[in-house]
Amino acid sequence: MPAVKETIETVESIAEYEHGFVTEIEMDMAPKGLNTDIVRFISAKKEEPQWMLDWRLRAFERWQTMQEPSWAMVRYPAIDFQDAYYYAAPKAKVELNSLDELDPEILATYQKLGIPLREQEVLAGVRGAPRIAVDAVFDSVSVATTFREELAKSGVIFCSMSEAVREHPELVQAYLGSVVPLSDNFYATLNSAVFSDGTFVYIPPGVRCPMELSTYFRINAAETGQFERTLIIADKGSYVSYLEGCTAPKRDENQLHAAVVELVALEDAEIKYSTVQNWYPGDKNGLGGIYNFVTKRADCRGARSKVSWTQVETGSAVTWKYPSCILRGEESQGEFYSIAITNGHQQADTGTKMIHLGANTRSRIVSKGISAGRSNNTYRGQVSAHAKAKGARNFTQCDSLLIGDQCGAHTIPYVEAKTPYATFEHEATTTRLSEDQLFYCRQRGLPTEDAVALLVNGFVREVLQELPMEFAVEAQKLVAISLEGSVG
Amino acid sequence: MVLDTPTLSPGEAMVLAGLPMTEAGDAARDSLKASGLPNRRVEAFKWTDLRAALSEPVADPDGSAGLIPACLQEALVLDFAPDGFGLEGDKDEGLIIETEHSLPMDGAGPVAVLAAGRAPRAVVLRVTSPQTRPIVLRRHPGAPMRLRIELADKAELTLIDMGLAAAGLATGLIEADVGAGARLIRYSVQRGGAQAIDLTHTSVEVANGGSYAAVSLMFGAKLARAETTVCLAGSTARCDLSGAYLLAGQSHADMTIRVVHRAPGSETREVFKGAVQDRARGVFQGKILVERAAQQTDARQNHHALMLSEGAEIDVKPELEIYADDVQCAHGNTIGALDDQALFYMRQRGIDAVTARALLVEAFVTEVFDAMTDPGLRDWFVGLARDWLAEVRA
Amino acid sequence: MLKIHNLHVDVGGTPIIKGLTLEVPAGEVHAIMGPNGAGKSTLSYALTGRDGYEVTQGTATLNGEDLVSLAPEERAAKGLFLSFQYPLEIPGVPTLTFLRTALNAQRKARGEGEVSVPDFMKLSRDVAKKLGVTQDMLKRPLNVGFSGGEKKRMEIYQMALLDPRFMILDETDSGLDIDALKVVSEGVNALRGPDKAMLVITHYQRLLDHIKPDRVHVLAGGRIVDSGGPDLALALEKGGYDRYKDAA
Repeated sequence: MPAVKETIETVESIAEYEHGFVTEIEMDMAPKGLNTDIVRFISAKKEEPQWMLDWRLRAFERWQTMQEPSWAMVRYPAIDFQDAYYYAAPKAKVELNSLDELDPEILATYQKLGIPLREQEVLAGVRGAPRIAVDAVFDSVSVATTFREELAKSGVIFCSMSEAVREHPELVQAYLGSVVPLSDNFYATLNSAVFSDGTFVYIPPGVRCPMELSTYFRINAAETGQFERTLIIADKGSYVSYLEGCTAPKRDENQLHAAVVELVALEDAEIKYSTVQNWYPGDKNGLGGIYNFVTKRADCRGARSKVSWTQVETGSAVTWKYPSCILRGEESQGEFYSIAITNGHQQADTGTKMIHLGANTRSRIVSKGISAGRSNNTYRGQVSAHAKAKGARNFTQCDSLLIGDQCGAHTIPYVEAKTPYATFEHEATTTRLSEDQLFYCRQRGLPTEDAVALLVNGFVREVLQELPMEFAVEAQKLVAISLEGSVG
Repeated sequence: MVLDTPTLSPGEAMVLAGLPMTEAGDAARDSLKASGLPNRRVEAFKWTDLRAALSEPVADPDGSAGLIPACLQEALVLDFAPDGFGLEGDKDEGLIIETEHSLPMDGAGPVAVLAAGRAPRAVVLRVTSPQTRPIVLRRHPGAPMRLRIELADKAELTLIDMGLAAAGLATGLIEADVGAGARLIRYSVQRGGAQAIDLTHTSVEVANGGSYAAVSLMFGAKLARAETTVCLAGSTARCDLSGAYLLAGQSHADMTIRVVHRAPGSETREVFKGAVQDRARGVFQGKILVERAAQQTDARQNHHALMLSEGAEIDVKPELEIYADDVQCAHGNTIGALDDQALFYMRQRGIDAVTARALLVEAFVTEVFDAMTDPGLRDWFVGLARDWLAEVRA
Repeated sequence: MLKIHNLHVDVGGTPIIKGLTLEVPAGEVHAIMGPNGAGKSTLSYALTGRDGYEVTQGTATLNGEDLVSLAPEERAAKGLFLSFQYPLEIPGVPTLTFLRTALNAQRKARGEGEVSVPDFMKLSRDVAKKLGVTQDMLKRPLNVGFSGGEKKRMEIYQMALLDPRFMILDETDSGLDIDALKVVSEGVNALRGPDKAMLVITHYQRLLDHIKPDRVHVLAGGRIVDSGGPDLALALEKGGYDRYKDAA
């Protein structure tokens, strides 16, 4: 079967990870290890108020009593939590007055990654192109946030988490930990103790955020964990679309990324959250790569609120991630669209939870998993409807595609129905890339690797369509790159 | 890390005290002492908490094994009672019945360990040629059943297991080896009262070209769990599983199924339906595992359930674990209420709501019995479902 | 144009084509007829290079260039097009995206420049009009939800757009009613030309009423057992294939 073999070989020669470079820069690091002193150190570095420090210390105390979860279908050597740095920031002036004072190495890094940090660069782009405000997080700190003044005109707060703690304590105190409680799970609790930076967004009532907001996460320093914390609050009747991107250098050791993202949607508010996750996946022998252990949850608190998660997961050595929606408000809606691609020795255990608490709540899950090489790709999802969730509806579609005979594709849905007035539908399929379709494409002149890219893009199209345009183009390319050696 | 030895509940202590002095009994004793019965924090028992159900001592066995239907009058009956095992009826050629020591059952989980441990001896059925006379396993309340079946190449056997316990802990363990080209067919009816706990583990291994087909009907009990593990070890083997659960009152029924495809070219079809009302709880966990060598596997699983009233609960975990690429695997699951439009349509034609509802539920659930080739048995199953519907609407 | 000499093809280790020799010169249309299981589809797959159709002996050349050693897409770039008996459905891939990708891949392989999006759109519209292919069909994922007739029309549409030099039509008439057959045949006839050639594979004569062949060959038992003019097809329609039973 030469064509299949060829496909597999093509797929096995994993494309060079193009974001794997290292930025040489002087860093301000906390000592290695994890204890209350480190927690205090991080809090002090960020000039945090006492309440924030107390919160961190409570989380740390709690974390010491917790055990790392083991139920996911991922295998990795035990992590020595004492053998990592928990704070790494580029040495810089305390206050930056303009981007010109930012270390040129960092500016160059973002330029290389194609992330516009200079507003004029964005403006100088194609006329009519959508503008995107960016918060750039470099290791443990936010290094730049663009378009803030313009956003402020409509009352939108878009800043780093550190700044929000200082400048908007009333909002942070009211919402931080209200979706993902301090004691939620091992990694989230660890994050609560040592989170360094991240993005804070507040959209005031009735405001439609005038541009896409985005955060670009970059892990640069060696042996350093990244623990960002993102909090987005969409007040009554508001709308925001938020994008998240991530990359890291190639390093032989595994690095931990344990983020927490909390979304709060009040009455009639809508949040669209898109992620293109492209952390370094490790080399072809499975050496190195990011451990991506992330807790993302949305609380659809208000009536008719809506949260839509879209994720394209192509990177990381190990992914453990379940962006979820608590559908509390009546008629609130949750959506989860996911493309997860694993290749080489990658392992992904990802999916969602849709917890229907309110009446007439609706959720929709579309998951497309693609396994290649020696990887394992698991969809794990929970849908539950509680006694008061009359009229709740869920539709779930999970499709898995296998490329090669050394990988695994797994589907593990949990469905809990506690009311007769809810409707659940779940469909799942697992197949391999069709040889007939491949031959058809090749007969029309497409080389094998183009044919594979075309077919895989067809397989994931339903999810790609959910991404904002410019992200979709990027994601489509990434799909091809993740699976093929010579394309892209 | 040192695990704390759990303090056993009065119910667990009673189970422990009742274990016989056999090797399997020792294994069950060790397992109970070390970790107790599994509770909801154990993934496979997430929705069926054995420890909670056995926190208090189990009521003394009460009830009967149920009446054998007319269509099975010719069958050979194996009687399993708390105090031993008996035989009724004629035995044909090609069937050997013996008993043997109850040996420990490793790696099959706590229900299998317990069921093996409680049985003083195991009954062995050796089948060397196709059997036309079915065998009924009549399970009396509180009885521990352990059965080992060996089907030689091309042999065939039909098993029917049934019980009607009002109270007591009944356990069952069936281990079957289905030889090349052989066929094992099994029909089971589980009915238990509010004080009864029914735990059954079935483990079947199928060789080249062999098949296992099972149809089950569960009405639940205080807690009833039927575990089935089918390993399609040979190529072009086949597994057809279907079943229905009808639950009312406080009853709890759990169907936990695991089908493993180990060799190329095998096929699995699973169809399960359920209807649950009052404060009853239905649990369906179905896993299909396709190992790397099992190319050209074709496996499909469907589960569809109706929630008939508030307070009821249905928990479902269909699962695909696939390591071979040239496969066709799928599962589908739906849970919801009865179709309002169909109900209205029937009422518009003059059928009262209660009757219409019963007819719709019956049609929905009994579809899974279509696979039964014996019309007598099929009518028996449909009749049991219909009786239940008549009873619960009163 | 197409020259096949003593071709032997195995499928899964079983010989299906056993020494087939055939020549289709430029400008001609040849028909291959034969009973079920004669190896008609095997021939079309072997010529286009499908996996599992192994050429064990003999040669096949297009304009003097060897086909057998080439990958399917390389043969396509040389101008070889197969209209499938059962066109594939490809979910999620819009027809136009597919065609533009295919056209540009072929052009690239031939060292030609890419066709720009506006030029391609114009081309696709012009061809669509001639074949009664609607814009709606072009926007939908390739062949998904198409009727049997629509799928066949889409094959001919692709053929017109990709402008191949040698066309193999595998049972193009199957699943078509008489009106659809006319539309498809007109489309095919419009693609005939002095520098092009076709091989029409069919079980029944009726397609040859609409696409008039220059030569008719009978394939049975993996070999050409008879050849003649268009009249041979009519004779076969009357007499059936029985008389070739022993020839194989």
